[in-house]
Amino acid sequence: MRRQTDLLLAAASWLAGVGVLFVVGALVAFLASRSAHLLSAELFFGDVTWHAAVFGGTRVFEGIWPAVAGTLTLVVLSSTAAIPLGVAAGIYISEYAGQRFRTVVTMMVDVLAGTPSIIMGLFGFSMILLLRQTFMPGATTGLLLAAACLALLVLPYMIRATQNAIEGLPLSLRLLGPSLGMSHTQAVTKILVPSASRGILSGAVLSLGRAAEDTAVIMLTGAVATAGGRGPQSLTTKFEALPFSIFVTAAEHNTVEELNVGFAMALVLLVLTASLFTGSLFLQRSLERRWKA
Amino acid sequence: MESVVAVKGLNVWFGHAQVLSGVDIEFRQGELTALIGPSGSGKTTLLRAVNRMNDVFSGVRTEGEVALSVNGATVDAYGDRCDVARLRRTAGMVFQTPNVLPTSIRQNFTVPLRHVLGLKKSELDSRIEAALREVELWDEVKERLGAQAQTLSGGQQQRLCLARALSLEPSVLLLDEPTASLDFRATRRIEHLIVRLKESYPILAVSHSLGQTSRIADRAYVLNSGCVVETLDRHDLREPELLHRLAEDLF
Repeated sequence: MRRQTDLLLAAASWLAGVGVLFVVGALVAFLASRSAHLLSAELFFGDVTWHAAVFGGTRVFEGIWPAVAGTLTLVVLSSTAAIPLGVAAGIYISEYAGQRFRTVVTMMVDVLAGTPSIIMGLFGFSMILLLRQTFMPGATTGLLLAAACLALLVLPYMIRATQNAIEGLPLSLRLLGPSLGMSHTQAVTKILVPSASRGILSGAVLSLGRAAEDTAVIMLTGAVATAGGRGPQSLTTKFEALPFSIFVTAAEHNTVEELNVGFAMALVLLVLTASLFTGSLFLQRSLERRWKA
Repeated sequence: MESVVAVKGLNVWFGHAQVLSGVDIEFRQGELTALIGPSGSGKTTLLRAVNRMNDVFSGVRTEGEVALSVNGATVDAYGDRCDVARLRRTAGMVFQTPNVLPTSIRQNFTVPLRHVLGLKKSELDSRIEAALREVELWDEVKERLGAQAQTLSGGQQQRLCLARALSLEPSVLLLDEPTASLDFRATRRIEHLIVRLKESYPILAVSHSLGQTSRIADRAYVLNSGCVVETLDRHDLREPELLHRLAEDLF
């Protein structure tokens, strides 16, 4: 009986693993089948050359470059704010906060993590309304606001991942720093955080992905269907972004070929986030190697 | 100058539970002092009281005096003027299971040497070599200081931990069942090392084995339920009948 249960459990775990592979494979295969014939420089830049579009500021009306540039800028801006802040907050909660404060803040972080992204978008939108009615009549939605709201959206993942990674370290590692005469801060920065870096990375990966794909936040805080054929021009201007462009294409396409462009954009978004993950993985591994050497 | 550690009237509570009550012990250079007793008798807590490692856990309260006399100067570990980081550096500690950093062998030394002692890069190599030689590990690892410490055997890892503690030039050694996780051969090797080290450092060691205690200790305090119930000197520790009675009573 026990052996049968074991076998059943092993089979279920195996199926679950294969299931994930199958779903991801099917998704990529479907996107590729609908858009493979579109994948070329023309998809990105239309009839403009790539260097004219990227460096020369030439407007691209027939390609998805402005949306790609918009998404990249958004992800970079929101991660630059959310990752350091989230890691710092996670370290504070796990290592410095008192018991009562920790309980309260942990609950708040969970509430923030459970907040639907549309609410976060509405929050940004209302903030602009408030600013317009008070001391900034000229305030408008734009890149900075969208990045700030996205940062707020991914912040709890970053905090939680850091906190869990540090709190999950074995007691032996925790005792090591003080037993060698290190101060608490030395033990945290030289032993605990480096040891927890893999867990912290998984939080960063989750945050990057979430910031790249979210549509609800940006549609209320500054994303537009066409932003003059260029990537973001300043922190306060409206911008294009892949998820929003995909959404608009899916909702308003007239021909099958237009929809296929939407699928191509989805594939590009997928590749973009995968590259960001790979980049952060390499960064973490090289930092870890340097610490371990 | 001789180093001596004297513990007087030590009481330790974990929350509301009193783990040590009115403990008086002393250990000095040239001697290996063992703490023996059944599990839960407070041996490790007593050991950790010396370098205030109990303070790392929340809800711990300590009363009493732990006086470390090093080079003629005496510090009360629980006095107002005690620098805890310095105290812990003075009292080198080795844990029950080898507590290596999950890094290279070299990095196990450079992290504490650079950040605790503030040594320069040029001073590290000679310090590392001296410490590894002191625990007879140098010849085994000198070709692979860049290898991960976790690839060493259990006995080698424990000697690495001992070397790491020694590299910080402590005045006292605190060993918490340092051979508990090792096989017979590695155990004998560590015992042999400890016997040699006691000439230079006062050593307080928790031991799980009466046999080991009688082999290497010069003095032993028997703990039960947080109190010292018996003190044994070198002569007592070689008395088979006394040891037999202790084994019957305690374990």
